[in-house]
Amino acid sequence: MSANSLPPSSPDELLPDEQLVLRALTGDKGAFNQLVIRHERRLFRFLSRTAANAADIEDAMQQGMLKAYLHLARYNPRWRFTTWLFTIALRELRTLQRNAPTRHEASDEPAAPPVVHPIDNDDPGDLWRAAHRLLHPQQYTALWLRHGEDLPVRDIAKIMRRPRIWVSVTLHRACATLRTAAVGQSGARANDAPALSRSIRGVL
Amino acid sequence: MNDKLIAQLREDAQRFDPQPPPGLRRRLIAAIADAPASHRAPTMRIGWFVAACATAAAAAIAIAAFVLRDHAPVRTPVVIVPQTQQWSPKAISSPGALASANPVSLAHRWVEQPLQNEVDTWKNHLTSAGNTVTGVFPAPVKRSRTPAL
Repeated sequence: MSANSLPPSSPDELLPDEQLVLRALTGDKGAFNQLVIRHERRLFRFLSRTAANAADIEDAMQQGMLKAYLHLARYNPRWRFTTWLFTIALRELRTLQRNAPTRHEASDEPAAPPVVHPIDNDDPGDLWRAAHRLLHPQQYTALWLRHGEDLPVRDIAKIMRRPRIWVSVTLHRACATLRTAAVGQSGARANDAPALSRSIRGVL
Repeated sequence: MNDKLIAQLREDAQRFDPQPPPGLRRRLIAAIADAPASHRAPTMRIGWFVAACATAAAAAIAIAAFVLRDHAPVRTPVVIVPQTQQWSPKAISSPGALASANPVSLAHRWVEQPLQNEVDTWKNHLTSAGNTVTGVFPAPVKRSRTPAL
């Protein structure tokens, strides 16, 4: 990320997440602000790949960050801070998505302009776009956390609140679905990764 | 094939780098500034203290039970001596003497003689009761019963 490539402008930027959490627990809000700056883009990237509504993404980020701050004492350093943050934000996003129809009906404000899904702005050859259309949302989220965020299965299970074996099976099935779709569209020439992307782009 | 698929997924994921909206960071920091300060919850510390005390108490009880079981003072057995005339603890004072005693004589000593004593006691009591009853009756009755006996 570009934010990480800049030279540190304050000593807080050099501290690990766990140290910043400890300082935030002593009442140092600046330490938590540093955590916000550090993880803002990654969290936005994850939620953008998971949600279909930009307003929901922003709301989930704001409520997730706020809840993380308010319940910081419950953070267990056994897990990465990213994992904990993703867990809270994903839960907030699911709650927002569940309540979305009632929220829009109850509000007197004019309907928000249609939001273009971030995925639809991508390169049409993006394999993730094909995955988003082919896979179940849970499969897609697990696949993104594994290969988009490079998280281990243990952390994905924590974020999605599922057993590890469920995550492993879901990842296996997601890959199998993508492979089957590629083989079905490009004939026997699915071994070549660029050809795979092109074939799925042509189909979808 | 699977490796190539995963490599392609990772490559495409790296290309995806959306920028958060410009005002989002400011809103996040403002929301945190308005929130009450986050401190270490005192209930957590109390919970840890209670858990530590409970563990220490359980350990103390377990150690005490172990020590009392293995190092308890030896109690001398309480011997109740039956109130019989013939029984003498000196006769079978040792386990060897008890083992070598004749079962027949032991039965005679522990069963027959106490029963005989009990029968004698009952006979004495019944005799005295009969004398008391006959002493209450008037003299003609006593005289009339005498020839019949």
